[in-house]
Amino acid sequence: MSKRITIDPITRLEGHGKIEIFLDKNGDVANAYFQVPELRGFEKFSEGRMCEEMPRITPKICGVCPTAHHMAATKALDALYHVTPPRTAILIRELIYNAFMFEDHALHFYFLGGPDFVVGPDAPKAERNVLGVIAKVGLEVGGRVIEMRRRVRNIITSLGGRVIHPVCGLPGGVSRGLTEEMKEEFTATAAEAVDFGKFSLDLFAKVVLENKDYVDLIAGDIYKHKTYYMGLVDDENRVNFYDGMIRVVDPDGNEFAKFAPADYLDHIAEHVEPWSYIKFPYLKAVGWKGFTDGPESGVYRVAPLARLNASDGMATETAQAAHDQLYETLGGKPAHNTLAYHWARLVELTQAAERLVELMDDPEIMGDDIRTLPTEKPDEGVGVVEAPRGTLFHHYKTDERGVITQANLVVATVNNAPGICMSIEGAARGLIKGGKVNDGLLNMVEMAFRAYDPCFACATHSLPGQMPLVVEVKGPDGEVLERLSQFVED
Amino acid sequence: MKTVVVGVGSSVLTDDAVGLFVARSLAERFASRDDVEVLENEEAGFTLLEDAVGYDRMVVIDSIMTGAEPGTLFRFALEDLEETIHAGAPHGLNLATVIEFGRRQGLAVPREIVIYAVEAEDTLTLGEELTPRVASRVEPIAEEIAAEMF
Repeated sequence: MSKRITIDPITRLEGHGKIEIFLDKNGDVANAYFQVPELRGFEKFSEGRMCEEMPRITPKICGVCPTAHHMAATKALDALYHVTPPRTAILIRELIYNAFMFEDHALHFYFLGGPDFVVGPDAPKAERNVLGVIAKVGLEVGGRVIEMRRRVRNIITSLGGRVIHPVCGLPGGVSRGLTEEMKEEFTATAAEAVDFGKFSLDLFAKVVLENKDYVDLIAGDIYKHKTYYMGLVDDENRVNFYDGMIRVVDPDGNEFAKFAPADYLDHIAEHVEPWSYIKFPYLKAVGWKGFTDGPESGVYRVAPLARLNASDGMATETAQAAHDQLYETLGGKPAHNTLAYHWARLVELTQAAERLVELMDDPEIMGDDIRTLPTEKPDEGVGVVEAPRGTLFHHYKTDERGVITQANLVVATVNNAPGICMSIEGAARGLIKGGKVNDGLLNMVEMAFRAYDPCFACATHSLPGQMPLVVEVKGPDGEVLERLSQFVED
Repeated sequence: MKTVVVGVGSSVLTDDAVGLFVARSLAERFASRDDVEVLENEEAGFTLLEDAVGYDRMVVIDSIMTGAEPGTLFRFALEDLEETIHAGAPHGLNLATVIEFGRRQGLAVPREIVIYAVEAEDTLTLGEELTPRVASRVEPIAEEIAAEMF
């Protein structure tokens, strides 16, 4: 007979998902570390499998952004087989991908990030969640978000073949084209998605921008790090989620590097620290100078605000206007304020919606030619997309039969790991003085996390179904002085 | 009464998949019944609400790590997870939160929700097989859950 126990969410976090803040002899912050679970054996797991399996396996690593992994893996196969998909196939992939970016950004803004802005950073803990957001903006908004997300997800389901883990991407193309019924439905959905984008920007303007305290919070120095920024751009240096060149700008916004995805190892190296499983990427040409910002430090950041910073602008009209307003408010480009990631996410959501309309208006999306069959022997390929949480790299090597001999992934959150460490340390320095821990510490750390929306725990789904943050403050000898978590501990 | 059984987990992370294995066993047992639907969910979060809508009863099967003997079965009610509603999750939404959200939105969420959790030994190694101790418990656990359900 099964027995009942009370879940202590902390128990399943021993050794990972934990932030440790070390104090010096004066009780001030010496270092802040965060530890995350490591997925073991990815290369070994991949070796010996047919490379065509990768687009079906890698999405299962993550329960949140499977479509990003599917698309990066599919593009890696294109490169591996030296095959260029027909234009119709590329349009269909882009349609699926922009639908995915739209729904993921919508989910994040309304349900995950919203508590910090819509509800407010000073709201009591019990209201800082999706239920608090809906209580404030109204149930009908909640309903609208759910319905919009359902319709946009339907684009992914219809074309992707499955609800969660798409299976449509093949080397050289996709597995199915659009039907007339789909065309009608998706065209209507795309138009509504644009309305939803405008509605979301208006809501943000009303709830956040008309509130001076919020604007001060976003524009202020909290979590401000003058880093390099990275993102995919099209041939006019405009933001692109699905494809393009990787562009890096320096902390003043000047182009520092622009390279093809296949050359990523010439530009990025990974620094290893003994206290964390996560590797910390940095720009090779600048070098690793520790967890610090400025032009001398090789730390770069990715994801919504970084993509906007790394570009010359957006690829669609309404998104461009929203982009201009963002930089006007924040005092020019690039913007270094981490909390502005939420705003940039809405600008991107709007571009994704407008791009859906453009794609549905392109007559070639209805074409029959959806696959170029590979004829060359596979050897090595890199596939890169902009995942909602940043640049995602898939890199495979195979033998001539297409059997994987080596696989390397640099996932979006890893790129932001140094920035996340810096944000945590900044919050800690501001709120721990002389050994006294201010009550607001956990909330400040949470806010940094939510802005980046890091994806550490999405790899495993074990109950309670989310990663609680555990913050331990330790003295110089390693003794635990304080332990904070969002959970009520008996 | 219509019941939905949802196995939750990742099929490529060793014991994280135990809920999926148990669900597959239950799907065979309930194959002839049209009042029971068995689903596998590898995404969790909001999609659990989508799985739940329209059923009178929901049975969720997931993995858990409490330090108990691997393969131990726990049973929870939704209330046991409720304290996590008020924790600002940095990423993702848990079952209690999404069900409460659905309730407030006026969606037809199940009146009865039971959560079973199987103690996992390893959820961080990439692999499609369960560890031996957990694997040996899949059938007995499916048997026990089926007996408790009806």
